[in-house]
Amino acid sequence: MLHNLEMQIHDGALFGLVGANGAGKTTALDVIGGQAMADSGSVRIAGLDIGNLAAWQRAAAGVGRTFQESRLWSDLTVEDHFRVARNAARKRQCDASGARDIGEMCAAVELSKTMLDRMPSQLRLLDRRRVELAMAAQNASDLLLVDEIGAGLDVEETRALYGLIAELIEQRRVRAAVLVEHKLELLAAFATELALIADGRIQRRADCKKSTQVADLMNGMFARKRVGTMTDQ
Amino acid sequence: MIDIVAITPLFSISLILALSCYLVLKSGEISFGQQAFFGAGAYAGGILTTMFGWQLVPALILSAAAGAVSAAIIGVSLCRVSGFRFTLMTLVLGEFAKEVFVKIEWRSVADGRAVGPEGPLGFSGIDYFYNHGIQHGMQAAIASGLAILCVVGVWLYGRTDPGRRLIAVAGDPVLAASVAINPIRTRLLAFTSAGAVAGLGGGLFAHQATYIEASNFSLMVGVHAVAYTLLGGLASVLGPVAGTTLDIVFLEGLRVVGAYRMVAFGSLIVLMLILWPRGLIGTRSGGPP
Repeated sequence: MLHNLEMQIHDGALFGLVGANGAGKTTALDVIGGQAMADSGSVRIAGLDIGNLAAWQRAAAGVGRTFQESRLWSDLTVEDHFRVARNAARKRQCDASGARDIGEMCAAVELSKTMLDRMPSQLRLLDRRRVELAMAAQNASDLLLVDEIGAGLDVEETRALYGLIAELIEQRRVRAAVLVEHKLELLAAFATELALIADGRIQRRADCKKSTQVADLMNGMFARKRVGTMTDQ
Repeated sequence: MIDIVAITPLFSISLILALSCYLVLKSGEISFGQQAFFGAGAYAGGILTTMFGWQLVPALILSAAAGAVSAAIIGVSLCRVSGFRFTLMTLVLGEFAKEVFVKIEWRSVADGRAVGPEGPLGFSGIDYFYNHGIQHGMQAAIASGLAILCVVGVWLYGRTDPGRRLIAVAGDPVLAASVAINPIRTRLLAFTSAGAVAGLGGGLFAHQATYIEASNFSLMVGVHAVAYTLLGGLASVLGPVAGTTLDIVFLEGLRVVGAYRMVAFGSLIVLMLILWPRGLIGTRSGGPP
């Protein structure tokens, strides 16, 4: 699915990955996060090759991940979710500075503490997403991978979640993030750079400080869509 | 109606083995081989009290250790597989262990009497209770005390981080790995603990029965223990308690169905799986399974 995909995510970056359905956005995250293994190539994080590590080892090495479909454990309370994620993170951080207590985890994603004793089935989608984000951020000291966290949410709710992610990076709790998103305008407002992926390759890149580049990338995306529709017909 | 003193040891031993299966089932796997660790504990405990004159308590601790160590050794490779492969491997393990028990032959003389396991002839003369004048009432108390200890221990396990991680790995292994939980280590810890519980139950069984042989640790023993847990449900540690009570107290103890006990038990399992697939004790989450 991916061919010669090359991505460099710099410290402090909010790297927006856009593209049509089936272009390989989620697969790219899977290859970085260890949910899928690449046939060849390498995945490096701060110079360390993590390409051969299992998913849990990559998480321990500082890569956090949220999934496109909302994923929580139906048999655990929200507090148990936080405990599980926090203690796994604390184990490897001897200084314990990276591991936050449960109150801080709530605060970081603006989740009301009254939600802590609820089961995931009793949460609305926005709060489920907050829990997922808090858990992923707990481990993502180096890189946070966020797969369409706004799926099923409206623009305002999605904006709030991206605001939280930007804040995590600002506070240096997370060094960099890769965001996959369909709501392109929204993404352009938060991302520091954008990359258009198509047929498993990066087709265009844009620095979000340069509005012409962003416009080019968006045009490129829509142009591809039109070509796609025409050939379909 | 029910002879409580007579049925308590059988109930307690069955419950302890069911709790061992419960721990494995909590990790999302079905094991038909827990009777192997039960047997390891039985032989270890029996050998220690008869051949070496150990007291019951340290012998039972060593029984649990024998179960734990053998489970840990096997678990290192077993916990890397899941689903039907796991179940199949435990099935082979159980049969293999039975063959090993037949081969255990170790005789010595204690108090002027030849003691120890005699290979295919079994292991007789585990007379600790008799030699120490421990009556049936006291035996029942010891058995139920150990069963309660195991219930509390397994309940506590579920309330600690290893227990939460176990539920996480069983519920969604991909999500668990994404928050840096090592799935193999998590499952290995549960499997080793399950081995310890089974071993303790085995040690108790050996002294209760006074005679053990390989056929005591046949596949059906393990299958029953799994069935008790599934019958009762996996939601809490009360599941195996309920399932064991149903079979031992009502079918075996009350003899409500007389000689047709196994037929009744089998039918009950089938009915439960159709009508009440989550077991007698429901789950606490209302969502879909």
